[in-house]
Amino acid sequence: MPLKISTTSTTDADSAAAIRECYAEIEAELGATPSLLIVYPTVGHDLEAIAAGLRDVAPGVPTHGATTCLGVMTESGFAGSEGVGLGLFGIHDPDGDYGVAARELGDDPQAAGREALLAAIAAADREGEPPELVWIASDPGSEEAVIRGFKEVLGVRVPIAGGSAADNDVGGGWFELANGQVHRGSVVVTVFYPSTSLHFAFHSGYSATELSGVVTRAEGRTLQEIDGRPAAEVYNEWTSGVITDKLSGGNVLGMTTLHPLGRASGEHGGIPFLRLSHPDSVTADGSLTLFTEVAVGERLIQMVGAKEHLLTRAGRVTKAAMNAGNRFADSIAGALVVYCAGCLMTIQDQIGEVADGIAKELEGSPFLGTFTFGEQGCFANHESYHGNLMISVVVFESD
Amino acid sequence: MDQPSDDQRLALSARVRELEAALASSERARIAAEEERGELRIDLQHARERLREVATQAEQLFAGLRVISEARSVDEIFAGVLGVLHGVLQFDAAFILLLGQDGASEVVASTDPSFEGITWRGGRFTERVLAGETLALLDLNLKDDWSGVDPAVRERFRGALHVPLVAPGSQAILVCVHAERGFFTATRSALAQRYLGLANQAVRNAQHATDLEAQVIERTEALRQERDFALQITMNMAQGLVTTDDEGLVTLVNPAFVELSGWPEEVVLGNPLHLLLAAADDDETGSVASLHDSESLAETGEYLLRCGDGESVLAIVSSAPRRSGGSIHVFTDLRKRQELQTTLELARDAAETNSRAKSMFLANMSHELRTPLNAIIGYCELLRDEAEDRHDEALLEDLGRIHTSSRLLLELIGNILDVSKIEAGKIDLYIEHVVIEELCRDAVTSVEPVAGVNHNIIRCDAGRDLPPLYTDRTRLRQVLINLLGNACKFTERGTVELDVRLDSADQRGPMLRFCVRDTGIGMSPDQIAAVFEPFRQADPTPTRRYGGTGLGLTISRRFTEMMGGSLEVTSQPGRGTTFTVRLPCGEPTIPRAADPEAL
Repeated sequence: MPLKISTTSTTDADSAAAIRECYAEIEAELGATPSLLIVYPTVGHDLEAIAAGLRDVAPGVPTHGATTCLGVMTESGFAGSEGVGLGLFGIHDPDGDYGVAARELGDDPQAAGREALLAAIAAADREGEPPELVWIASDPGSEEAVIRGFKEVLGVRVPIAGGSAADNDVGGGWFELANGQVHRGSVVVTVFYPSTSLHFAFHSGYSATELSGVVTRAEGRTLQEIDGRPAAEVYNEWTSGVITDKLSGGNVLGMTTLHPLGRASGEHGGIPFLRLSHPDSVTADGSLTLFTEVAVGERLIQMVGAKEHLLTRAGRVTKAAMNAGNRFADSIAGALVVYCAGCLMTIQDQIGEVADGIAKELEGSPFLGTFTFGEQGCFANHESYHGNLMISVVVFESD
Repeated sequence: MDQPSDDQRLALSARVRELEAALASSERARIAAEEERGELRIDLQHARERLREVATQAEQLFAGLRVISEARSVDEIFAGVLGVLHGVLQFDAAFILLLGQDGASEVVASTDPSFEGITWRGGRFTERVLAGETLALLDLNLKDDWSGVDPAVRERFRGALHVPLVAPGSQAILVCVHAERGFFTATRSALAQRYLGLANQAVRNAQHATDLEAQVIERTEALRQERDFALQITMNMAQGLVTTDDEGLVTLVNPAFVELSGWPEEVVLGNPLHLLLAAADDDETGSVASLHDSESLAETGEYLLRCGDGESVLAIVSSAPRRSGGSIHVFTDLRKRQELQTTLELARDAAETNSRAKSMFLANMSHELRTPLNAIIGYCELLRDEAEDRHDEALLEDLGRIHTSSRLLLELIGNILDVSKIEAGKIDLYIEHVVIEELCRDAVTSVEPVAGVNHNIIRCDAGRDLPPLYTDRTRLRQVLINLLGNACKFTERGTVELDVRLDSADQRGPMLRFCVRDTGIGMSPDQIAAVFEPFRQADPTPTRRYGGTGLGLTISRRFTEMMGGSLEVTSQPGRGTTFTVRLPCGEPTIPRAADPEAL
């Protein structure tokens, strides 16, 4: 039986009604109870009402979710109005297996990631078997540790993708959902054992410049020194002064969106893969805080982007995912897209063009896109990472 | 030089800002173009890398296809599969596991001796693989199916891939292992499935070829046996046999032909057969030529065979085309057949003379025997009357035995006399009008004492408005008494019934049907088949128990047939027997004498 996917979205602010209507639409389109549901509401929604609605309309169906920034996008375009939007993705695959589990991150996010993954595999009744994909939604801040927990169980070759929970104003109001329950400070993991193949791509919308340096002092997500000098000072030089006004400290998130730092993460055919780190603030001692960890000894490359590329890049990444499996759109059942919320904020009301670009590549196949505060994906060399300002796409073959 | 005016300064400033904006725009466009170029370069490089990977995989798969297509046996294919997949999947070790219906397992091919002789526990995971799923394991220690394998081996290897395989007569799994945990991803599973689809087909082909080879060997052996058998028949048959090729040249003769013709085999072989033959009517050319005419090859004709001693032998030659070309000719020596026929005719005449003599002798002897026997019976009855008068019970008993034995002997002699007369054609029928009711009542009255001995009820139902019957009253009465007597003998505490009806549906015309039914012991189909044969009853045991000569039914049937009718029987063991006499109504056409050969 072919794998079938359906997506829908709404800007209805009545959370209970929104989830009921979206589910009814998904079930009608699939013609059966879904094998898995993925829901991305904005924080403007009543999460408990959504969870209760899912429990009510889809009891027993594995459900994965996290809050998204400002809205969602589907083949019908962007859905978000005054910070309220909801997207639902349903997959019907009776010959496949799917499992969802969540764990609180607590003091040991790595252990939380490991345990959530094992619980999800057990929920799919596939203990000991590597899933074809691990889909993740985590509270921002400790994604690298969570992924390390996954790799403890899986080794390094199973693709990991997804996006971190987000809110509308970086105010920390994000949530996660798993199997009809609302979670906070947690990681939600879904394991995919589909009956058909899936393919993926993980890219940024940025280019490397010739400017680079080595991390000489860092701790977690705080980059203190590059080449022995205060990181903020070096970064300001590389970017021709985009944070001159904030060198003594302050939030720089909006200023740095088109100037992230890149870190090499393997290569494929001689071309290095670069995952991005997005500086979000300058500390009083001249350090930069990032949305990713950095390690001493890592080479940082100054990246540069243009708004135009943020508009077109998602479509290119979608096509790259299909190319990875040598597939055309007519054999694709649907896709999941993770798009950086920082990029969304940069392009703002032009986000519809991003959705159009993805829809054009998929030629009408359904997709659901979420806007996240951290992206996880798998490069073509089958290595999975957490990054910022990234676009992660997974496409599912229909049969 | 005059200082620029404020207006000029403002215009210059505006121009500078305009140029700076244009420069910034150009710079953005340059950066965008650079990025686009960079992205395209990356895409191109990735596409090249994918192409290289796909080409490498295709090359490996083609190489694998060549290996398995050149393999001649399933074992070679299995070994080839492991060799090729090593390049494709990059496993550290692999083996092929055969699983029997009884749960027994055997490693039939392996790249690592550690796996030879392992104990495979099996389980739900194994069952899923055997059902057709390709399954990877993150770690060998996570499934009980692996628990029987040496812990040291499970420590050396972590990741595993299990792929279902086709194997003749059993189920098989290809197992690949790698030291790295989770080494076998979906991509590797897909590659393995793609290649093993081909391997499975190759195994089916190899098995099919093996089966075909076995069939060819079996068929060849059968053909050899058939050929030997045919040759044995040819060489030992009494008739002469000659085969010729398409040109009519002799290719084979059997010993019987050599004996018949007197020609040595080496003289005949390779020569035209028609040179040895002449037509029986001396029209040599025409008849001989017909042996070569393909349209008349299958014909059978009489020919003169020119023999080696200069004489000719008359023979029937039967010719038939051979499927592979040429013809086969069978020579039957008519001299022998004629001699045999003459001998047979003489023997038959002698037998018939003897048979008539025997019948005459028996008829005469029977007559000569009956006369003194009647005297014995008569004197015995007189002595019995005297003994009764004297109340001499001992003498009465002895005389009773003599009387009974004498009556039986008389009956036997009477029957033998009847048979002899029938055989000798000396039975004459006296045709008269018969009153059916009277005849039936008479017959029933005659057997009532016998019915009483076995406590049977005997009934007679002769329907009204029966047509007149013209037949031999005495013979018919004898037939009915015989049938009713038998029925009473073979029935105990039952019913014997004589039923007479008109049967208008008989193909021979209107018939009177006399049915004698009983509820006795009945007969099996084998017994029914033999019941009309002389000196036979249902079986030897009843003969001894119930007495009788075993001639009654034979005589009854012959009498019925002489009267233009028939006598038939239906019966089931334990369910009784029905004898049916059918006689034509009106003046019957009576054969004057019985056919002795029918007895």
